[in-house]
Amino acid sequence: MRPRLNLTSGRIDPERPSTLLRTLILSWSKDERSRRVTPRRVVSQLPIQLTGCMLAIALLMIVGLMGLILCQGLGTFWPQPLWELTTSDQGRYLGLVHRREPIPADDHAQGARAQRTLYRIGNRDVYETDFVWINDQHILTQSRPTEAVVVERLEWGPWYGFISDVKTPEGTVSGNREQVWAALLRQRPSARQRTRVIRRIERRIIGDLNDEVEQHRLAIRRLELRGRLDTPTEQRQLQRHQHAIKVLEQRYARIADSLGQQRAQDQAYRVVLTSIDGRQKELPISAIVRIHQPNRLSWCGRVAVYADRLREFVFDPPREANTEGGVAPAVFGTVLMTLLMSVAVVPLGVLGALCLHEYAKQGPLVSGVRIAVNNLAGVPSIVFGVFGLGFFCYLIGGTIDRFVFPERLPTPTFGGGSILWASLTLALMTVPVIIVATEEALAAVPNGLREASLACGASKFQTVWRVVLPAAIPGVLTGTILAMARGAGEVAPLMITGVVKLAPTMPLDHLWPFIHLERKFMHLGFHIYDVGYQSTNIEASKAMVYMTTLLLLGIVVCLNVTAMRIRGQWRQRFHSADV
Amino acid sequence: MAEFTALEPTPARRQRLPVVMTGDPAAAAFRRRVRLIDQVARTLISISGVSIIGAVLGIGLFLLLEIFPLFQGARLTPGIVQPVLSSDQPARLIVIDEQQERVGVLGQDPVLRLFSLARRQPPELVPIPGLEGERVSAVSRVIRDPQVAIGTEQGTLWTGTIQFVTQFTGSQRRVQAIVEPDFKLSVASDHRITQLAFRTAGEQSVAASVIDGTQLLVTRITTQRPLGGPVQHTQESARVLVEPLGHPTGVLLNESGTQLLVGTSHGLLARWGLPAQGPAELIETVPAVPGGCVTTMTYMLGNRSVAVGGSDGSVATWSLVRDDRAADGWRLRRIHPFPQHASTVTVIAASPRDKGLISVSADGVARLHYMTSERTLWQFLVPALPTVLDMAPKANGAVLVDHTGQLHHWLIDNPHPEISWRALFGKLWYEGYQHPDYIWQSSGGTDDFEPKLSLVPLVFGTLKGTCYALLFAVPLALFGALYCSQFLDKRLRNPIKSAIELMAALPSVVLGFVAGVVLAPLVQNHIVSVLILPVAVPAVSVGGLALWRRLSSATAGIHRGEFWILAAGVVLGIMVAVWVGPVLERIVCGGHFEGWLLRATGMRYDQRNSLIVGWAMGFAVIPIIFTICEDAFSAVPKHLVGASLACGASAWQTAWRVVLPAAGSGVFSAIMVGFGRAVGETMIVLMATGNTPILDWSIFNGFRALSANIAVEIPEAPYGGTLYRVLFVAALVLFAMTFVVNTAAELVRLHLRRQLQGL
Repeated sequence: MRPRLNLTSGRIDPERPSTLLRTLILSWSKDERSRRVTPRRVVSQLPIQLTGCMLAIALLMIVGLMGLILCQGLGTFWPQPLWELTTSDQGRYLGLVHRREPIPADDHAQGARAQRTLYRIGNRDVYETDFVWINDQHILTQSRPTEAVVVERLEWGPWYGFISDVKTPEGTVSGNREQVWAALLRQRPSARQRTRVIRRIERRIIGDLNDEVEQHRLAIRRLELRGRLDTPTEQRQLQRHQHAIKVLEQRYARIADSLGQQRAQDQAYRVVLTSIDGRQKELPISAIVRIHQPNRLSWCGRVAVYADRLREFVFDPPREANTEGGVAPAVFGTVLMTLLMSVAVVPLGVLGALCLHEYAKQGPLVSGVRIAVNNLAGVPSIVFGVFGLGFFCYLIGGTIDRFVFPERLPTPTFGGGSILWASLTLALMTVPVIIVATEEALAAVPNGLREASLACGASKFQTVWRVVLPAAIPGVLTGTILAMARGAGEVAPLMITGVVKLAPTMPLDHLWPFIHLERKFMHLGFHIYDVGYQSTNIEASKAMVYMTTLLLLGIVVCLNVTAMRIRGQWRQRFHSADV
Repeated sequence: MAEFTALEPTPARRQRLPVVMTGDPAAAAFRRRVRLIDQVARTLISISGVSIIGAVLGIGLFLLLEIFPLFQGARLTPGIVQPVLSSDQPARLIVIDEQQERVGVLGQDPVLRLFSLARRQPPELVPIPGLEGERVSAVSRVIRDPQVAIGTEQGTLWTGTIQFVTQFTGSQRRVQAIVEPDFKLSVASDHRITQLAFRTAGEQSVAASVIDGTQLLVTRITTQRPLGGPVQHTQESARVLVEPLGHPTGVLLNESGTQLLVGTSHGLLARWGLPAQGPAELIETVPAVPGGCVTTMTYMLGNRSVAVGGSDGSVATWSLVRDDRAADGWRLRRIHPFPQHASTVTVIAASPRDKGLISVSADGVARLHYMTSERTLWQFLVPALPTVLDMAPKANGAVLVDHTGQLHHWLIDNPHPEISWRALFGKLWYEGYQHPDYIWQSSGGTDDFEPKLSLVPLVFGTLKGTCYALLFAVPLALFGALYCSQFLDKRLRNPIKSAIELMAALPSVVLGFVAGVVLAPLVQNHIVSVLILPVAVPAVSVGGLALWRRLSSATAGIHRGEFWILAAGVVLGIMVAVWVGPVLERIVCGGHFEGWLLRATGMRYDQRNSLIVGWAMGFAVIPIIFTICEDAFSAVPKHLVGASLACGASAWQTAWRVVLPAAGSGVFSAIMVGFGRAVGETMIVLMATGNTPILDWSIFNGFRALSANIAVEIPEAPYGGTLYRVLFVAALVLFAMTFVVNTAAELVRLHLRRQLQGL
């Protein structure tokens, strides 16, 4: 039998520490001299190289993935040239190169090396499809017409083509493409202004009116639910609300009237777009989001388009079932949810850790609890989601609804998913992270400090509050940031406790009480899932997903790197301040 | 000490401290305040700490509480008891409305008596039009169908509908029964019809009637509705030779009226085919009640299974199961037996809502069963022997009339009959399947759908995904960590560790998206290249290094730049694989891997398969395993390594035989934690598998994991319903799996720490 390192007792004879190992190793390679032979030494290096290979693969995976996301994400908004193609089957196309690949093995007839290209030809409203595959050898001519225009519209995705007319009440500009283009550019600022006015009326004024009417309606319902409508005071209240509703409705009619006029005026400014094969489409100028001639753009012009698209992406709401426009509500939802979560989780976690580490008597029970808390960090997030749905949404939320908002039933107020319940669910999920981090930090505070403080006559709480906690703050901070990073990147529990693909209202707005915790919200992670996985037009929305991914990744990685740096500095500090 | 400004005496403290020492009243008050604050803080912290920890641990408890109602039986509350018929008149039919307000009872007289279930009232009489003067002797009715067929002692067959409608007179609502006749024929002149089965399919109706308790007569009725003229019925009757099998004691017709099922006094179940032309053909007979006789039969909801009661007290459901050896490809099989009654089963009623049934035996024991789960949910005593029994349309009540003419009403609260331990974790025989199986299929298109809620395919899916993920991640992470801690250039160590820790920060939804949407099509196009990667990459990488060494005549030791050469070799290896793949595909698989796979092994290739999930989940798990392993390897005391090297062991020998065993429990704990993470991963499995709940280990197939299943189904599950609670069971299973595994890992880790302290 071979001698073995006794690992269960973990002891090596202290008298002759190397004997055991020596025997161990000698028994393995019986002929010691043969080890000097070079080829065998090369063979003995083989396993090391294999392990190195494993590390290289792991590293390559992370680098590759990051590279993929960075390239695809950052390249998305760069204006690309529009190609005009004629193909051997009499087709004329105008589009962007989307992707190239060798023709799959199935259709071998054209030879194995043939390439094909996926062109994005846009104009979904007339072509019914955004993309077309064209085999390279079918292309007869290829050019980049300078007058080709990319029109990003509010609906139906982009239009690739030309502009033939600009119609305004003052007259129609047509014919010379240069003149038409200039006319269109002249009209754009006023169109934008009109859009802004209309949107303000729609969103702000009418939205607020509706909200007020709803408040009065709910007040009436509340009175009805109370059941006794025959007392004079209640009768008076009822009449007051009914009167208010009537007044509001009249106001609504007036505003709707003026809105109609504004819209009609706006519709009078129109542009006629032509596709490469001569099909035409007329739309109001205000329906244009962005317009440029990519084949004519200078480098600066490209940067400007890129910057404008980036601005729209970060600061504007989404359009077209989330596949275009921006992700502002999702960014906002993610940040607000993460902040709410931190507000809930930090005091809880710190109190828990203080209780565990400073106050509780250490023993098997406490270490058992510690293991349990530790393990909760490993419990799947979806389990927390299920718990959140059952406990917060249905049990607590349902109870709140029954007693506080009976007038809104059966529409749930707190009884469904909401940003509050999602945040609390995530808070519960990340509590172990904070407890563990805080405890670690508390354990790292040298006992001498505590004893010194106590010896000076400070009470236990004073010691904890003034000495131990300040010293442990960096640890708490690290834990908080790690918890935030975990919370921001988590999707599964959110999608059952309050995230929606498109939230009509934000959880924070100008209407009292300003923060609406009962509302559902949008989230970057869920946005990725929804657009990337459930979208019907995946090819077109992929770019958006990469960009969203980049944004989410940016947030999460920034949080993580910050946590790592704080942790690093804090460790150093304790090393230098070894008490 | 400069960092700990909190420690330096603040001005306030400098002033207060001496004051505390003296005994003036201000100091005493101050001391009291401090003590009070201390007390309050201690209590607060303790209470909140304990409650937080309690709340965190309470999650498991809450999940348990939510699933508890699944395993509770049904509850029956007795309702009104009232006399409805004189004791000499046996009841033939009982019907109840959806709100359980009214019940209609038909005795021998052709009059439907309507009673209120709220209070005792004299009955409202609704005569059956056209049956005046005859005596009802048999009734046929199918659940969830208003059509009723009545046979009389005079040999008349009457058909029509009996329906409850809600009428409003002013603000008063009333439930009223409406009887509408369809047609009336004489099928057995002046002979008593003792059993009746009736079905309508389009213009054709079929009636099977037992005449005088011995003969079986099948009547085919064709209805013609000429434009403008009166409706005409033509009938043709034929006798079915049932005598060799005993007296017919129960007859049923299948949904289309093409097959006849007869229970006999010899305990046999006989199945006849009824072709459109020609006589009935006996297809098969099976012994249903050995040594006894079949006493009662009824179709279950969905008309696919038949509940059969026997004189020996046996209750079972029978169903047609596909069998290639049988004459017409189907065979009657007993698929769900229930506990035997002590005496003859007299009445069975099927639930119109689910696959439940109530069986009553001659000793007055009534049992509420559920077919799929074979559960007996409740047992109660019936005061006197019932003659007719019916369950309310929502399956939340039952009414029966006993042989003394008393009406009994029970309210049934039976929220989750389909769940039992066997339904969740065992094989069950579902309707339409050839054998018992593990199936997950929570919803279907029709009302009579049988929910199949076995968690086994889901648990299997979770384990399958986890296995492939670990198969991919463990070698990479473990050996990568070994290399990183033992052989890697020290300057590279920290950046590489940080990079891999960063990998852990990647949100899983990103991995899911990349795997499911980007990688899956790519892998499908280059599947052969991907399959040879595990060989090609190490070979090219290591071979490249050897070549480089030879060319640069470097020593055989571990070189600083070695890692970069290996990394370059990995890239090169991938390129080689991509280049070799199509060539290999053409040579081995004839140019098309998927077709070849199907031909050679019978395996299907799904685009979103376990290979993809293994990669993506492996990606998520690698940083966890790597970090813990790396820590464990680094924590191995340096003197062990030094001693080993000093004894002349090579670097690899030291790493393999000293470092790895010494860090063994750390490695184990790392793998366990990685397992826990992979088990609970949701977004990746949701996006990168096809989410098909199948039991198949093939790497080219997808699966459905517990976590993804919860995410998909819980938004649609109604609160408090069976599916909702079953999903809680799924969550609890996940919770338990990870909790157990993580606890094991933690214990091992503690063990390791103690062990290393000993070294």
